[in-house]
Amino acid sequence: MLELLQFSLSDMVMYSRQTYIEMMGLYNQAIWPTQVPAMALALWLLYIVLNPGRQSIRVVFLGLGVAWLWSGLVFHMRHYSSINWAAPAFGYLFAVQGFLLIAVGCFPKAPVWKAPRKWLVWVNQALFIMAVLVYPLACLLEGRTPMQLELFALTPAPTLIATFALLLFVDGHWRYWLVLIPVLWSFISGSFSWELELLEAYAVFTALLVWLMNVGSEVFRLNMRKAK
Amino acid sequence: MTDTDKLELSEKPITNRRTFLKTIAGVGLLSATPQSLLSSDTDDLLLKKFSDTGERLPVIGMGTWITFNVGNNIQTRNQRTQVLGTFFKLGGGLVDSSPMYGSAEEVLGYALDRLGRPQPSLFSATKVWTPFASRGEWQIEESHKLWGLQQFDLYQIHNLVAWEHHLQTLQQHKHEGAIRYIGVTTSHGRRHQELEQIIQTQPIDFVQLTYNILDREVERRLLPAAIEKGVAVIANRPFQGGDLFFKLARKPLPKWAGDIDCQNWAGFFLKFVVSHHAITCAIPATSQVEHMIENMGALRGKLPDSKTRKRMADYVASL
Repeated sequence: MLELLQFSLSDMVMYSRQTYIEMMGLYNQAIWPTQVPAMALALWLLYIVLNPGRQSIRVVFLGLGVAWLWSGLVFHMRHYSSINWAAPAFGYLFAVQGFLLIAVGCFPKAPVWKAPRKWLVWVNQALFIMAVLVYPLACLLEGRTPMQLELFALTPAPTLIATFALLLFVDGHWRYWLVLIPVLWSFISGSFSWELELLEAYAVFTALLVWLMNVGSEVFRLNMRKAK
Repeated sequence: MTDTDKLELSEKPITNRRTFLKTIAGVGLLSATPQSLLSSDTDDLLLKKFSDTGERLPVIGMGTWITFNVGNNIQTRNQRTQVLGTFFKLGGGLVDSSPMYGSAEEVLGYALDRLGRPQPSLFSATKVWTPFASRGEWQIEESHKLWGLQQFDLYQIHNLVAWEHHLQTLQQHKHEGAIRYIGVTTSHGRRHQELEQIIQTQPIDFVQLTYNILDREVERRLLPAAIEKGVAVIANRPFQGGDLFFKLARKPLPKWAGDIDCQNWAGFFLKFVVSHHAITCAIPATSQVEHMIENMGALRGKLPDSKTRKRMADYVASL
């Protein structure tokens, strides 16, 4: 098994940029018109994030859980697997994350919105907007057709970015468990996209960086408080 | 959309020279292609003997890494079928793939179905690459199904992964007649010491390694070892994964390239590789019909002698 470590990242990117984008087009065609309810869900969750309420956070967790499940079971296992033999394994990871988010959303004691500093609220909201609107549309800059865009809830990258946004916005140590798979996936998808020179790399690494900076600032503030 | 995407995709297998010529004429390739390249005569092909039986292979083969992993996209699958059809029509033989290449084996099976079976010149080569010894048999069975072949000409152990176990399995398959030849592969200059030891001590027929006009480390020990043991050599990455074109495509081809019948850089790079007496064939990969035509240009005409090889290497180094 250790012999696999001899392979570099470029050895593992087994398809071309064009093939990946075309696969995305075929996927969107195959699932049409699922894009319509997916966009409705995206806008609904965005509204909640812009107007957070105590109970509505459950909806965001449930919505994101469904998005991870769909991305794992449908995108990875049924479509991405046509060009990447590792995709079924990614599918299982996504399914686990989906169930975790749904479990938190259904838990009797609802997670609470953090009352963070104001700038953090803006960062969180900007990240969410990037996930559901900016990133999908930015894919047009790569020369994609509208049918080849990556939409929230249906594809991994925007779903991942939205998840980082949500996890910036809630309190409690349990959220670190919820971020393990997103962080792992950021490295996998970010690296693949980097090799293929896709915008996804920048979007995913930005979201990861924002989340890490937030954790870093929390740890710093905690240490400062203890020092006092 | 590229020019090759505009190809009229025939529903019928491309089985004759007229259909082929009509196809490439449709994308304006015919007028730009030297008549000698369009010859489907096999008399003028550059072939190399590789076994005691006297069997020979065309010196230009075809790789499928990335280029044939196109998934379920029928339009792209049909376009790759044209690429494979061009390869055979211009005298190509060895086609190399691996289960590691995503859907490449499945797409090859699709293309072979479309082109019509059997392809008399096909020399099928694939690999086993699972690190789990127990999965080797399953992977081999899958490859037979995906290619649609009862027998493989060459079965290789991919990048030496679990090679001790897989070698035993492949020997058993060879004994049973499901495989004609056995090989091991490496790429990017990895694990050369181990590869040399395998060449020296194991009963293999082929070895696959990286060799091109800039990556020549194998000339020191591996190629001499292969000659000594009578092991045929397949050169992968003859264009350094395309980097040679990025580095040199805008530089002028030397005027004397015409003396060895090279009209383009692809021919220049390939003829350098296959003119080494240890190399049996090179396996460039492409997704474009016009690039395939360029590659196959190296299958005809003169090969450089050792003096010209040195001149070629010096010229590239000077750019």
